Amino acid sequence: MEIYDIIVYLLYFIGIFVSVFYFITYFENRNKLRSKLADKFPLISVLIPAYNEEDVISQTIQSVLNQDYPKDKLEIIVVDDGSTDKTYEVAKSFSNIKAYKKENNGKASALNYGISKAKGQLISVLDADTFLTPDFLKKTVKYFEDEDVGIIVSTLKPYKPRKLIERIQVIEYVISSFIRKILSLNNSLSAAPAGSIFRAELFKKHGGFDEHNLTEDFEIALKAQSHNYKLVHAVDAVAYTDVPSTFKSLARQRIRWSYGALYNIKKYRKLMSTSYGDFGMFFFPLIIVSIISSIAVLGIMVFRILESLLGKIGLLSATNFNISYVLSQASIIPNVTNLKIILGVFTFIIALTLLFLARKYTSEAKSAERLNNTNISFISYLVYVFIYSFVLITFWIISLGYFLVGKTPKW
Amino acid sequence: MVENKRYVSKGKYIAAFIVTVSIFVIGLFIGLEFSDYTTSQFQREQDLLKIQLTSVDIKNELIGKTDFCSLELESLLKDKVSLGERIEALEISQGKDDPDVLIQKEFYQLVQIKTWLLLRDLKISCSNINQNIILFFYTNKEDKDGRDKMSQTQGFLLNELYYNYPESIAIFSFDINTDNTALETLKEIYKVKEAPTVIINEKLYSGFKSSEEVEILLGLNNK
Repeated sequence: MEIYDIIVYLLYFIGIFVSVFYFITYFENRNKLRSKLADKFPLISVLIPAYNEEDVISQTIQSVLNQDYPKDKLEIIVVDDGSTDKTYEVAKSFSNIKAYKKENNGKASALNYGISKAKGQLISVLDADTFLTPDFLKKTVKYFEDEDVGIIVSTLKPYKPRKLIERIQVIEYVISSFIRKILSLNNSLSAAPAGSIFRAELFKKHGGFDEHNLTEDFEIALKAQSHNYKLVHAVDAVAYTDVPSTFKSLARQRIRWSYGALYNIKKYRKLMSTSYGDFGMFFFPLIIVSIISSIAVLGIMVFRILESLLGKIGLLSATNFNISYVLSQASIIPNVTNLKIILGVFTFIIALTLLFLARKYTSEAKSAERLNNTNISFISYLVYVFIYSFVLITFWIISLGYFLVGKTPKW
Repeated sequence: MVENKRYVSKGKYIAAFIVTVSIFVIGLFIGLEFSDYTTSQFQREQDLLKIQLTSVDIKNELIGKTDFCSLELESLLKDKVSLGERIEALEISQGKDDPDVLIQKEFYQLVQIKTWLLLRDLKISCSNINQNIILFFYTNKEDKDGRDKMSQTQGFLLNELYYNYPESIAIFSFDINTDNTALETLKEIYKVKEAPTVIINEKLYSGFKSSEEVEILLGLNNK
């Protein structure tokens, strides 16, 4: 067995093992996946940091005002982080909204400013382009009855995706939401993106967001993990957000995310310990294993394709460019043994099942899906599997490069 | 005070490990069943070819020299080609060093020698048989001088020739590393020392030969 085979089988083993672990978790908890609606209504402060968001901020505020939640239990705080447009004026035009303006100092600083003004026992953090579905708060608040819960994370979906690049991200967001649910059932969730709700006590006791961090949402989640808070994912509480609509903006966002992830993994490496249970022993190290495995998969694919192409080119020149003959040769088929084919089929079935479950638990009413354009075509799935996933790995490689040479990518 | 107790779900890891190993074992089992099926298919074809070869031999002895030249060679040579393709498929799916594959390959090479002997006799005795006979000795063992790669390319080129002139050429390929006395004798007869080597109509040419060179040697180059 060559080293190449060993790597391939190892990657299969890791992939199948993790998926099986997910499925076991799913079957153990399949009756507990849906959220229970709140019957008690604690005061919630909804924080909306904004920088030059005059076009979308009113829709975000409106989505909070439309919440099926007692109005006297909602405090909406907009922090304008030194916008040069009319964000502040737009926010100010709403009654019952607290709008503040401060010097531009980044999202984390705006959030910390808002936290200092917030009165709620719970603090919901939104981006200025994140819109809540009407039952969002009602579906999330009840989880806080467990005193150990520090953060509730919701399902994020791209808002009205039109271009292919946006539609592919629907698949990505839906799958990662379901996986986050599984992780939270293992007490191992480590992300708190826009749309998350925090217990105010967490900030009071352990400080707010890290203002020098590229991914302050990942940092705060790791901080909560380090203080043994539970992070719960409310898979059926949906918020919509604008996603990058060009390759360039996607690249910038993902390189920043990946770099931030690497930075924070290093910062919180002490969490890799059995004293943090499944998170410390398995799921946190798994992030690193996943990065390495993804890069290995891409490396193997590129190597195989290059090898085959070079072979074809060599053969073409040796046969005086007899294209029909070269194409008739089966040499492009890699050395695939039966076991590899069968494991590939298993992996494909596992991936399809995961996708099916993810769609099932994050779906909304058909009318809402139609309105938000989140019914995804078969072509988008194909592009997601065969192109997008490899593009994401490439972003990881670039971020790793930045990280290893100690350079910070541009915001 | 947060009292979230952290624990390691040992049971779940063990269960996931057992299921994963089972998937691997099932995969291996299905894979083996599948290769057993391909091997037995292959053996059946080889047996059929053996029967065909033997019956041609017997037919030859029965009807004597007069009818010898009217023998149906085409199907015999086609069977040989399809057998060769199956060997190649087996090498890909089972690995080149798989003992079963090596045995099948050794027998296949013996069948080839037998077919070649028959064709050679026919060519000598019958004016209507004028196929060019190529014996091709190759190696697929990794080699620092690149003889395996050269052999591979030579193989492709010869295949291409067969693809272009199926009626005029019969190619018999032999792995120079096969440890078999018949094959050793064949190598000794033609003084084959290295791979790749081609013997075109009884003449030995050592080393890699380009398409044009082979075509010229065969008298097929009309350019």
